[in-house]
Amino acid sequence: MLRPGDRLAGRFEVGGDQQEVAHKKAGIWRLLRWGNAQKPVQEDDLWLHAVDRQSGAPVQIDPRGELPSWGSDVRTETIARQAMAMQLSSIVKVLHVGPGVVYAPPPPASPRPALPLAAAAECALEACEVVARLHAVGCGGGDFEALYFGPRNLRVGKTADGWHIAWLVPGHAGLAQIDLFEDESLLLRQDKPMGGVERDVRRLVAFFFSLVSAEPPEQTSAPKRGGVMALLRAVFQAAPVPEAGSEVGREGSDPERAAALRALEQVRRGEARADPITDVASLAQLFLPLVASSAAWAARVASLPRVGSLPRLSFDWDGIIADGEAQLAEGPRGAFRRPEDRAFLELPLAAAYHQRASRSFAQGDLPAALRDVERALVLDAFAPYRTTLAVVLDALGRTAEARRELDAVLAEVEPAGPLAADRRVDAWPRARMSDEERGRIHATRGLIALREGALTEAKEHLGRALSLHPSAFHAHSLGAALYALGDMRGAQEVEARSVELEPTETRYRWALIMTLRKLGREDEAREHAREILRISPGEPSHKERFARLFGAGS
Amino acid sequence: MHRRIAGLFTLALLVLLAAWSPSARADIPPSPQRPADWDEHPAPLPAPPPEKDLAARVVLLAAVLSLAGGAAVLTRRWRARSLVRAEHRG
Repeated sequence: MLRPGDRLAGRFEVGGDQQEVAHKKAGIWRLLRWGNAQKPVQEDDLWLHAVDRQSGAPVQIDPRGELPSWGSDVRTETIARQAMAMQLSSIVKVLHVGPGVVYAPPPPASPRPALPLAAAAECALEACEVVARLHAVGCGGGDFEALYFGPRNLRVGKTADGWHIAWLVPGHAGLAQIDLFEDESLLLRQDKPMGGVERDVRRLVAFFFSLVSAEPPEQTSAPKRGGVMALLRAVFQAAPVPEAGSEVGREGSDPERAAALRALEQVRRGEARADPITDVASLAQLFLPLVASSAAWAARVASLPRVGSLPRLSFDWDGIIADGEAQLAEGPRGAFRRPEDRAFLELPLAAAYHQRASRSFAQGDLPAALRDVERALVLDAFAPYRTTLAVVLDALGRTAEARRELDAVLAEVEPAGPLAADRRVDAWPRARMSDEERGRIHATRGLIALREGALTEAKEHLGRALSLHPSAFHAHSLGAALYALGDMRGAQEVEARSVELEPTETRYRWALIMTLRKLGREDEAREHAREILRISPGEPSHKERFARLFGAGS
Repeated sequence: MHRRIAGLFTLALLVLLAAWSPSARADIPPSPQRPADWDEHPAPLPAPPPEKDLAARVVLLAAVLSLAGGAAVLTRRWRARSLVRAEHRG
């Protein structure tokens, strides 16, 4: 924990006490509800102030919290590195990451101004640019995903060349809570289940509407939130003077702007549209008719990545593991000195080891995968990690050990319930072992049995795997067991299901073809084989196999 | 008597103060949790079952090889015996 006078990364001389800031951040909800009304929570209390010894300039640090927040802190730092790499002028400059995040001082936070339509649209476009680029690397989408839309995180200010945003990315959770306390509408109401991208699209539109006003900013004393009729009046009666030569000045531009506003209003209300907005880049297109310099913005919008569903965020597992081991070696500290408090660190650290083991396995580095999964199990004897250990052992040819491990896991998790073996974790739904994980145990055990010729046992385990998690892989594996048992009809049914679930996986289709041939359904088999040639026309092994099974002239 | 009451009162006050003193523990989640969103890499799956016609071909190849191996052993033995017999005759 940093104290006044300490240096972070040998560069930033700290002027406050990290423990105090961490304590205030953790208890912000308590401060907000029962704090001293005479002295409301100050933003400054939630920052660790420091001076950059390289430039002599002041900086602001969002420090790590206490031990329990280690997992979320390293995630925030991962997003901070992504933001740093983007180098967008609308993101508050991140100067250093780890431990904590060091920002250049952001412009002061202020209530949302009431802006002319074009200025509001430009700010919305800047925000779209940030979100689209963050979506491309797997950030965003949730209420607490280090991307906050409140006025203390997403700041709007006037500079010499107009109104611009200055966004804290990753966001400051403490500031977000103050914003939320003051304006509950920031928490997106969900009238239907929404994906992460759709949620951010709705939030961006809400941000735009929070800026626009029917009156020019000089005439308004407070931010206004007009409806679509007020906005349309603003377009037709008090449209800002367009730039010479810009698209806005052309004949018929006002109906275009009115159409854009109507479309944005539909998105805000969550109404169904003929051409639904499925990504932030498409949303940005709607703002183009509203800005003064639409030609310049059009090129920027065209270069935005189109992300319909968020990819997985990419973590630096080596760095996270090194950091976690260093924290463990440091021992107990602060308010978390009890032996069982180590689990606050051990559980996420084990998850990091398991992630790195999974990556090594996918890359074919089995010894590295084994080392990491064994370390994960020392830290947290979680059943899915034991399944991974069994999968790795099996891949290394140590099948008997794998079988023993799986039988031990199954004895613990079935039928007593997934939490029976794990008393360190409460019944919080996210901590429960998912059906998918339980399916993986049965699939692994069933495939070992299949290879060893224990066909009935294989059928039972693979059937259970399929019922727990109906994946194409499980259906295909059960099909192999039924085929080996001579149950061709049963095999055909589940293999058809695997093809339905993953139509482009040729391995599953070949398995179905072989079963159809056994059933004498030659025409169907040939049709599936032709489909394989259509899916991957350049693959010689498929052509060779097709010719061998159906003759070269088929 | 008064001293005892005062002592008990002070003790009770101290206990109350200790219980009341704000602690960072008050603001933490109730128990440790595994991160829900650290799922960059999917957990490893076992090797899929062998492909059917390939499996049949492997079995066929193994049978042919074992037959060929057996035949080679028998031939070698037969030759050895023939040589022994020829030596005896010789």
